[in-house]
Amino acid sequence: MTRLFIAPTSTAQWHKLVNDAQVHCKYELEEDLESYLVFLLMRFLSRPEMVNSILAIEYLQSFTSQGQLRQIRLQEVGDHCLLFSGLFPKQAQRRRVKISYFVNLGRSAYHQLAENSLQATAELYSQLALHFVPVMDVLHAIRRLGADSPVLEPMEAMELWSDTGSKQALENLRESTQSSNIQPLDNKTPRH
Amino acid sequence: MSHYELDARRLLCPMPVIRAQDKVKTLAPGDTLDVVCTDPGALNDIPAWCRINGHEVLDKKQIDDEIIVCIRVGNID
Repeated sequence: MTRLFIAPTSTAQWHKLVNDAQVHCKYELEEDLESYLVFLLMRFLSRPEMVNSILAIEYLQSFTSQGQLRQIRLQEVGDHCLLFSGLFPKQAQRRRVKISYFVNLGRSAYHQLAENSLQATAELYSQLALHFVPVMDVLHAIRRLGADSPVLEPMEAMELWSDTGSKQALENLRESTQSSNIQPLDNKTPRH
Repeated sequence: MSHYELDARRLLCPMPVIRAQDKVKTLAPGDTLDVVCTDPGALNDIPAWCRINGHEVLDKKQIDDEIIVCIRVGNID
């Protein structure tokens, strides 16, 4: 069933959506991470051209850049990876990569940012790198709130769960099968 | 009532709003805060954040490359 979100401003709507998604996936983001996600959603969903970005090249270019330009490039890579992995996971299929590719690249970009930022901002970038998967899970939950079927195909969910330990991917998988014994691919332990 | 200034220059959105959020937590209702930033996105982000958190935007101005958003801290539960 389609849900209708009623809130007085677009920011309030995004805020409510992110909050509802956290309730849905039983995860509570820290306030700074939650705010970062709300404003990230507001900013990037009005920029459809972002889907054309070639993340690996942007990431490599960040290493040949310096100062503010380097920070801008790294933040864009991290943010795009977060949105692709969480909100537009089908981008992985189109780009012939696994969703965990975005997770690894995004984490790495935020980690680099944290290492090259002043302490006040480094902490948040570090949190984004550390909690990339739960934040991605909140984005998956946002998609799930408005959909009648699971966000990921069963194999995508299995890969993502095996590679990253994503709880939403596991939940997605449980929705797709009646099996009570779900094992990660190649019996590897899901990373958290 | 006191007045404070937050230097959010060279921070990329949405970082200025996050820094403002952290700073406001340390202030009392009625205090005012000038957030000085260079990313034009802050002109929308900070007022939007204020609206949903009960703070008041007293002034927004751009001087050369710098944007200054002055806010008055509202009652925080």
